[in-house]
Amino acid sequence: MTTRVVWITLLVALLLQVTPAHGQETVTATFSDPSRPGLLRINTLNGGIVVKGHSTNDVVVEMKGGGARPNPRNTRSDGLRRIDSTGNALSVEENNNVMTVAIRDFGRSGNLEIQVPLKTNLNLKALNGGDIVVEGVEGEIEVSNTNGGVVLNNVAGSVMAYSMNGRVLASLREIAANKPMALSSMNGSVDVTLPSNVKANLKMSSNNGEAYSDFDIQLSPNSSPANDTFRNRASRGRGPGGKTLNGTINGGGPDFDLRTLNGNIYIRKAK
Amino acid sequence: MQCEEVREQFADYVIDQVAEPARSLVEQHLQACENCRAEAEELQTLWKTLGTLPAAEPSTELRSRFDIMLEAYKHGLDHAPARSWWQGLNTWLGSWWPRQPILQLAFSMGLLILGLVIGRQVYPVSNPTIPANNEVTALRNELSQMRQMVALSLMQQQSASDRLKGVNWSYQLQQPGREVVTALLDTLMHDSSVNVRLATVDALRQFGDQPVVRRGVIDAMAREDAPMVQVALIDLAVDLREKESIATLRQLTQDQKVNEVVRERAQKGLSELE
Repeated sequence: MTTRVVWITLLVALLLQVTPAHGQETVTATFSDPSRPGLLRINTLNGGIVVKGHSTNDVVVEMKGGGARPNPRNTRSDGLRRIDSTGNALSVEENNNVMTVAIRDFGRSGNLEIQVPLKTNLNLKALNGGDIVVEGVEGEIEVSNTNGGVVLNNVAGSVMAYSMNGRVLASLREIAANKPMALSSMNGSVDVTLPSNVKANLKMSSNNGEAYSDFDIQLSPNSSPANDTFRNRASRGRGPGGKTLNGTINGGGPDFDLRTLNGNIYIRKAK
Repeated sequence: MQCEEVREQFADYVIDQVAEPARSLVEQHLQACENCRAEAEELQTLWKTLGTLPAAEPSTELRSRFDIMLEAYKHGLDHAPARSWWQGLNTWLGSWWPRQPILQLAFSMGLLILGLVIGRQVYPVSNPTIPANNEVTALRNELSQMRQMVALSLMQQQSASDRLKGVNWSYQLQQPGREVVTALLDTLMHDSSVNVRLATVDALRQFGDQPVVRRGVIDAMAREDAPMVQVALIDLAVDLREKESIATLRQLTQDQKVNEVVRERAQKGLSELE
């Protein structure tokens, strides 16, 4: 098995006289088979994630800021040492072209900044404390955030994005053929920019918001009560079937699901 | 012996497979003809060199890839729903389908034409349409089987986009088998992607008359952790007028840990069902 495990040790940091709590940590790794796109998986509890594409095969993982979580009962620990190690905060593991980045120390909060090859598949999850931002990456991009937003800038391929309390903002320069996409947010808006020649079947659903677009969207008659606005249907307040609009752009193509409960939907034509 | 005749024997001669008296004749010719001798020697060297080539060994990578594939396959088997002999037969029949759409189309067309030809032969003029129709029905069934398999295999993929595609395939099935409904319910319960689960709720709407689906919707409602999916499930249960869901809805309205939006929705659902 070509398992490569890279551990950052505090030891190194101490030798270099860097205070780990406020310093930066950087790990560089590569996918075992750079000829095909690797998959980068990240799951964080505290802190945002920024992933940018760059034109080398390296994956550069950097942890910024944060520091140890403040402990309000610190006074009780006078004269005691913390038992868990404060180092080893960042773990980067690669196995069969899947790279997993994790923050091992639960007390740590900080933002991850990662540079990846331009063609990389992403699976990013965050819970608290920041947005997930992806810039200039091509691949299958799966992003899920609970209390932060999702921002995808100048990406290509296919997108599956979800945020519970934040907005989902995606700008795609190119769409993978025949890949369905889904973008949803419960309490935020869903704002997507697509190439002007995109072919897609749209399914737009919002409870309390409205949909806006500068595309010429052909609404299909089964998108039930046609020429009814979201708001009208929301006031009727029943099931998604009652407030879903189906339509096609440029003759139709793969399915794009855009959903929100409390936000608006924006579908923009790339300028 | 002429050069040409001799050269025909070369391959056999080099590996000592020429019987007497031809062998002596070849040797005689080789003594006399320099060109042929040179060629024979060249062939002999090549043959020997080939013999010294090491046998190809599989690389360690191959081994690990195979292991991973095997694991994935086993994993798939463990999670696959139990199959009856009838479904096994279907799968076996399905395995004869070519993977490329062009080939599938060509194969279907071939079958169709074959069917038409057989129909013409069996019922010359009197009623040619009936056998052809049977053939078309058989083809339709085959096609629907194939779509079903595509949907099922897509729902097992690592990529969320592929799984979403699998869920959306279920709309193209006229009479989906129990396998597809089971796979959809499994996706609803276990898929890691909120978007895939949301699409699954929508896809299950078309099978809302099946008791197993109604039961699954209620189960999922209680254990789902994404509020947005919970809301979609509540809406579905209410649209299906599923009275069985009342207990679960009430539980949701009373649980303070449940998201506020979900609690409100459950409350509204209760008032519509009761």
